[in-house]
Amino acid sequence: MDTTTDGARRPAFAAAIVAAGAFAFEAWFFNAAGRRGEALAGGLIWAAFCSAIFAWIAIGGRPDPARRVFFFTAALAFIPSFIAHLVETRGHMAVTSAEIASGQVPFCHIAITTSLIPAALLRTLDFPAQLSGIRAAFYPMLAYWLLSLLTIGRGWCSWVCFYGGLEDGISSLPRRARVDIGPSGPVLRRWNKAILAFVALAGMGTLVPVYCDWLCPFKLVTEYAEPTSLRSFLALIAFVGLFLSLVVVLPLLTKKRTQCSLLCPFGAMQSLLDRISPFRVAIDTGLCVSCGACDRVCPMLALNPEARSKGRPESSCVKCGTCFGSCSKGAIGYAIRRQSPTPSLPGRTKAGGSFFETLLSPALLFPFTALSFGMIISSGFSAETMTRLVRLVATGSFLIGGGR
Amino acid sequence: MSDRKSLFSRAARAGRTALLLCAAIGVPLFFVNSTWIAARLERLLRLEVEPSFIGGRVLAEFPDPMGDDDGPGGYAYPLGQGRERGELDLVDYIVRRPVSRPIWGDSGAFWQLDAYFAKAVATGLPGGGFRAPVLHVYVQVQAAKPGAAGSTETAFGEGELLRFDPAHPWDYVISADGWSAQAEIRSADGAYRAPVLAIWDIGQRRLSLRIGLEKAPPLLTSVMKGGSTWHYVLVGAYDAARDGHFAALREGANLHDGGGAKDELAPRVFDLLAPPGTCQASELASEDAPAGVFALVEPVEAGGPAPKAYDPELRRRLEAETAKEGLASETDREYRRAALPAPSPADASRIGELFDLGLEDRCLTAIVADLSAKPADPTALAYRGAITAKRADRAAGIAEKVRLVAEAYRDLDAAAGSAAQAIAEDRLAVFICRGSVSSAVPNDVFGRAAQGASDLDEAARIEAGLGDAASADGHLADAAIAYEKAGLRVEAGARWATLAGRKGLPAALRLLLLERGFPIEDRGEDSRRDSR
Repeated sequence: MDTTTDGARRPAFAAAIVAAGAFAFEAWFFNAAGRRGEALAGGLIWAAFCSAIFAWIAIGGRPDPARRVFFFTAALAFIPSFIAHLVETRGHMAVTSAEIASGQVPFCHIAITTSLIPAALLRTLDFPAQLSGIRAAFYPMLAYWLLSLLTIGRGWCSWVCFYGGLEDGISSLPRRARVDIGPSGPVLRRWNKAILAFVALAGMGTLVPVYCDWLCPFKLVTEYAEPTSLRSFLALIAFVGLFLSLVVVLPLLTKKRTQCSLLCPFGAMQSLLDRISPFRVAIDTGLCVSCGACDRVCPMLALNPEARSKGRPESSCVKCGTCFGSCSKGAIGYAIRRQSPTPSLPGRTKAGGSFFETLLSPALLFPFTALSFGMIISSGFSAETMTRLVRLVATGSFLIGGGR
Repeated sequence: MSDRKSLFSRAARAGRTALLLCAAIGVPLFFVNSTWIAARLERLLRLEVEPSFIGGRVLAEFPDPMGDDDGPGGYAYPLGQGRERGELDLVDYIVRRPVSRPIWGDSGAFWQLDAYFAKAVATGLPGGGFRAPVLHVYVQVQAAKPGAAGSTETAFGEGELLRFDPAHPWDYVISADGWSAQAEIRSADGAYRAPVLAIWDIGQRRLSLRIGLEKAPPLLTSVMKGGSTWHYVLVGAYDAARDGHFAALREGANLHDGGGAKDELAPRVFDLLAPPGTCQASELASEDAPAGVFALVEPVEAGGPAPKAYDPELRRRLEAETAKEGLASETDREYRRAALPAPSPADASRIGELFDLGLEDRCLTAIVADLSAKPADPTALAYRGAITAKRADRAAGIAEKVRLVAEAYRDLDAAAGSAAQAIAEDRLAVFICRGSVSSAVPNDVFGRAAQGASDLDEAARIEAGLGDAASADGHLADAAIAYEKAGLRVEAGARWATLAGRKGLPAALRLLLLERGFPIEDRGEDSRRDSR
C-alpha cells in the first residue's frame, strides 16, 4: 500500500540513518569504550546487535518485531550473567544469612515498590541490599526509575525490564492464543494495582519486602532463599509455581504477558505514574475503523473498544508498539502527550517527511530513548554474557576465575 | 489573530521538540553521570538499611589501634601458611543490640558481635590454609553478683595463657576461627554449648558472630533487656593442635608457633581489645612467670553509661596550644624563607623546601629546570601536581577548578607510577602530595578520598621508617581524616585509636582525638607552666 516515491522518502531515510549512526556511537560508548580483550569483544558484539536493532526500527518504520528480538535476547542474556556472577562470588545461587548480613543481595527495580514508603517515612530500606557502590544498589536503581518516569514511563516494561523480556518472548512463541482472556481484561487489569497496594502497605507495616519474599517468580532464574525450613520451602514452592504458571504456561496459552499484567507491582506503579512521561501511544479516532485487530494482539490487555473510542490505550499499555503493525489504517502510533499519533516513521508515509520532521518525530525519538535505556541497562549483563561466551570459545570456561 | 495562532502553534511545536530532545539526549547523559546523581540522592535521602538485616543497631563500637598485632610488643607470626602482617590485627569491634524478630531469615532472635581485621584473606581454600585468625570473645552478661557462676580462668585448658579481671568474671565464651562458618558458644560452667553462626566477609574484613537467643538459657537471653555487658576480645594465630586453637609462642617463631615470647607464660594473644585509657602491651606483659601467674586482662564495657562530653576547659586549652604551635611553625617558615639563598640552578635540588615555604613561582621554575633534565622525576611531577591543585583551589568557576584538578592528577598519578623505584624521600614527597590533594578535593566529584588516605598511610609508614615519628603521626591523622571523608569509618577509627595510644602528641592532634571521643593525655599543668 505504500505509495511513497523514492524521492520523497530520501530525506526521511537520511534522518533514520543519522539517528542509527548516533545510536551506534552511543552503543559503542556504553558497551565497548575503554575495554580490552574479551570484554572489548563481548561489548562490541552487544553494541553491534543493539545498533542493528535500532537501524531495523528506524529504517523499517515500526518497533516490532525488532524490539521484541532485542528485549527477549537481553532477558535471556541476563540470566546466565547473573547466575554466573553469583556462582563466582558466593559459590551458589541461594541467599543465605551471610549474604543478607553483608548486604549482598542485588536490589532490583521491582523492590522499589515495597521500599519506597518506608524509605520516605522512616528513612529505612527494608531490603538487605547495598545502598550505593554498584548498579544493583538502592540509590542507582532509584535514579534509573526516576529517569524512566521522566522519559519512557511504562515503556520500561517493554524496552528495559530484564524480567519482562522473558515473558514477552515466551508469549510471542505460539502462533495463536489457545485461551482468550481478552473479555476478562478490565478485571485482570486491576489485579496488579491491588498487588501494588498490598505490597506497599505490607512493606510499610512490617518492613518486610513481601513481594520479594513470597511473590516474585523470577527467583527461579536469579536467587532464592535457601530451603532450610518449612517457611523457605513454602516460598520455594510459591516461586517455582508462579514462574511456571505466569511466565511460561499462561503466556504460551494466552499470548498475553500475564505476570506483567497481573502480578507485577512495579508495572502497576509505572502505569499510575505514566502521565509524567512525555511519550504516549495514541489512536487516531478519525482513521480507526474499529476492526479490533489491535485488541487481539496487545499483550497487555490495554486495548478494547472503549479505549479505542477515547483515542488512547488503557494505562497498562507498555508502549511496545506491537499493535502498530496490526492496524491496516495506520491509526496507532507514538505521540507526544495529547498530539495525534505518528503511525510510523514519516519516511514510510505517503507524505514522505522532511529530514528534521523525521528526526524529531516521536516515532523515531521514542524508540531511540527507550532502546538507549534498555541498551545501557543491559550493557551491564548482556555485554557481560557476550564476553563470557567469547571466553567460553577462547578458553573453554564460562566463569571468570572458575567460581568457588 | 491567525498570526498569533500560528506563532503560538510554532512555539508549542518548538517546546515539544525541545522536550523530545531532552528525553532522548537525557538518557545517555544521565547514565554518564549516574554515579554522581546517585551520590546526590544518597546525600539528600540519607537512608539506612533496616538494621535487623545486617545484625541489629550498633550498641557500642570499640576501634582498636592498627599495627598492634604483636601482643605485648615484639611477637612474630608463625612462619607457616604464608601469613601476612595485619591478618591477626583487630581494628574494630562492634556490639550490636539483640534482634528479637529478624526479617528474611530462618533464625529466631539473635545477638551479633562484629570483629574487623586490618587484612583478610580467603582462608580454608587451597593456598589459604589455616591462616585465619582465631577469635575468642569472653562475655560477662550481667554485673557480678555474690555466688554468680562466672569464671576468671580461660575456658580452654592452657588456651590463651591469661586470667580475667576478678571484677568481671565471664559467663559465656564464643570461639570462632575465620575459616569455618560455625563458631561455638559455651557457658562458664560448661552446661550450655551451642553453635554460633560465623559470617566471614572477606571484602569488609569482618567476622560476624550471630548468637542464637531462642533456645538460650535465661542468663544469656537477659542481653535482650539491655544494660551493660563486658567483653574480653582476644585474637590469636590458628593451630588445630592447641587448646582453644591458639597457637603457642616461643622465643623464635617456627612453622606452627609464633615468636617473641619472653617466657613460657607469655600470653598467646596477638591482639587484645584493651579498654579505653589502658594499654594492650602492658596488660599482655603482666604475667609473672617465676610465680606461675598468668597475665591479667580487663574487659571493655558495652552499653554502659554514655561517655562524658569532653571538658570545654580542656578543649579551650588545646585550641590555645594549637594556635601557639601554628604560630611557632609560621615563624620557623619565615626564618627559613629569609635564610634561603637567591634563586639559582641549585633550586632544582630544593623543590620540596620551596613548595613548603609557599614560593610557588620559584618552585615551578625549579621544577621546569629539573624536568628538562629528568622528564620523569617523580618528585618534580608530584610538586607540580600539588601546585596545580593549589591553583585550582584559588581558581574562579567550577569548570576551571575541575580542569585544573584533572591536570594536577595527570602529574600526580604519573609521579606515583614512577615512584616505585625511587628512594624513600622521593616516594614520601609523592605520597604526601597526591594524598593531600586527594584528601582536599571534593570526594563526591573526584572520588579520590580513599586513595588519598591510602597514600597518606604510606607516607606515615615511610616517615616512621625514616625515624620521624612526629611527622608520621601527622600523616596518620591526615589519613584518618581522608578515610572519614571517604566514608570508611572502620579504617578511620583504627587510625585514631592508634594515635590515641601515642604519647607526646602535639595539641592539634590531641584536639582531633578529643573531638572524636578518645581519652587523651592532659598536659594542662605543663602547658600552663609553659605559658607562664
